[in-house]
Amino acid sequence: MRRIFELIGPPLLVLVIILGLWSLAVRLLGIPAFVLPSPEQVFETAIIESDRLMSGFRNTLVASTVGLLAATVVGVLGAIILSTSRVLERALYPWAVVLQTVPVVALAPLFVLWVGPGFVSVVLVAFIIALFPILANTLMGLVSTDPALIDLLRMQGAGRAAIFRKIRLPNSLPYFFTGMRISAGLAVIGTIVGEMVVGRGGEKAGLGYYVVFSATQLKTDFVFATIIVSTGLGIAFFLAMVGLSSLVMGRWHESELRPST
Amino acid sequence: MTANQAAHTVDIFIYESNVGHAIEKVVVTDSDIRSDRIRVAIRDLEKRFSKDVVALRGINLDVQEGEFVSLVGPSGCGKSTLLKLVAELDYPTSGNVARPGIADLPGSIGFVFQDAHLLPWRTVHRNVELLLEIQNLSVNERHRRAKEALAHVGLEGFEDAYPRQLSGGMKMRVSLARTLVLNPQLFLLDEPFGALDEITREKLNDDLVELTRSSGLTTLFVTHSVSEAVYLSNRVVVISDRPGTIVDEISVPFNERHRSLRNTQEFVNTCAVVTEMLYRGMEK
Ligand SMILES: Nc1ncnc2c1ncn2[C@@H]1O[C@H](COP(=O)(O)OP(=O)(O)OP(=O)(O)O)[C@@H](O)[C@H]1O
Ligand SMILES: [Mg+2]
Repeated sequence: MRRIFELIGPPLLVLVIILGLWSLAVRLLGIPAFVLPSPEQVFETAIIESDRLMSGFRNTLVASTVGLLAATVVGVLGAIILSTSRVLERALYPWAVVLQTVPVVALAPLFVLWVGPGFVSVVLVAFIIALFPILANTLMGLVSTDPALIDLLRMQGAGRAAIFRKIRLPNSLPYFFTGMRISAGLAVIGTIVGEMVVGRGGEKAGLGYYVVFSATQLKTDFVFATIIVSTGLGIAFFLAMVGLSSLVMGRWHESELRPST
Repeated sequence: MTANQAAHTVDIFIYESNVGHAIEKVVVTDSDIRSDRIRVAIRDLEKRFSKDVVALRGINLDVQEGEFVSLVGPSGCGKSTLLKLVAELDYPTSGNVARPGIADLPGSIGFVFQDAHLLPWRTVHRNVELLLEIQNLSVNERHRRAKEALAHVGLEGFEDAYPRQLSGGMKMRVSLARTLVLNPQLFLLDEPFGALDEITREKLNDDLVELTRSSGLTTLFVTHSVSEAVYLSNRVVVISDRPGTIVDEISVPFNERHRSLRNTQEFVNTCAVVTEMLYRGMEK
């Protein structure tokens, strides 16, 4: 209990100080609410708009999850395929790097042309942004195996399948989860960006949609409330990945479970 | 037979924690190597990695059944390469390696590397089972053999530990056990104790003498250490600087191995002879 307090105490204190200064500045300087609302106002709006925030949260959560799952499936399968052949890796991996550097937001209008605005387009943006870290890290884990161990297994007549199952796959797990931690955050960002650009309003509106929608109406307090909820979602995704990785990897390689940053 | 002799030796497997105890150990070595039975025959072996890098040249070497042969030589002279060629992990540029009487089957060659190379995600027991899983053994048989091998290297009670919980010496023992479960006919070790402190190393030397002599295991052992080579071997082969050629070899004149052997004049003299050969190989 004491340890927990020591851990979250200092940052919490900083938060309180910042909120205090913020509130004070807004009052003393007479900043108009559409430029910078006070924290109390943001809080109030969050309560009033809690229905829309909740449904936005749900919609963004669903789109992020679907995008991340798709990126995981494609990323892992892609990494496995690339890891089986040096030629394939040489031919395809550079394109994965190129794909990563294409500004996805610029692609978004194309998605709209192809599948129309809304859920599928949003998920596509999240998927593309989240794909690369999973693919790259898993691939790294699959190929960066101890050559001596592979020699050892070969000497006992082990084939590629056995080496894959006993060495490559387990070896790639920590790398995979490193990728997942990065991609989880990116999937949320991708979803929100997607919602801002190709999202739709109404019942299916996500948090990104509400950011744009309320900004154009100068409801800056609502913008802030949405940003805070979005941040919460991002953190939740990250923590879920940390939890999942320690659940799966359990007792081995504790050092690799800790985020490096 | 040697196996029976060895069965009468004092139990030499001690736990890490017993290092401090000065236990005088007596190990009887093999004195009846059957020189008529060649198990490794290396002929005119050459290995070049590129035009300029000739790792080995003109290597001729026979190893008899039950014989323990050490290869010593300066770093980069091709010792590891030679071992890999014997294990067929790599192929010679010319010449050949024959292994008469060693079955061409998985498991007939046991290889131990300089580092333990354990799987961090497996327990000690499961690490030892790794190579058995490749063979089609029943789960029970696998389990039994792994348990036996772990007892053999003095690691009972550590079955469920993970590699990161072990000391360097214990990891090496796991690595030895992982190979010993295969009941290999030919045992190849590439500087297995190079990274260990001296006391652990000497203890593992005694264990290795016992393990190999008790089963009459034909062994090729690579090391940097002259005294380790002399202590362990029936024969020490000295390899020259690159390109590696055989400078000379010496039959080790001792029949018994025990701790005080290292202090005898004869042991010191033998080491001096080997060191002399090493210098000859570096000046060529
Ligand atoms: N796969 C390889 N490709 C190119 N050169 C190699 C390869 N393996 C070894 N060599 C070269 O062959 C020579 C012998 O290497 P090797 O590893 O057999 O030496 P070593 O005697 O085992 O050395 P050490 O005692 O340091 O382990 C070295 O010069 C090394 O650079
Ligand atoms: Mg070497």
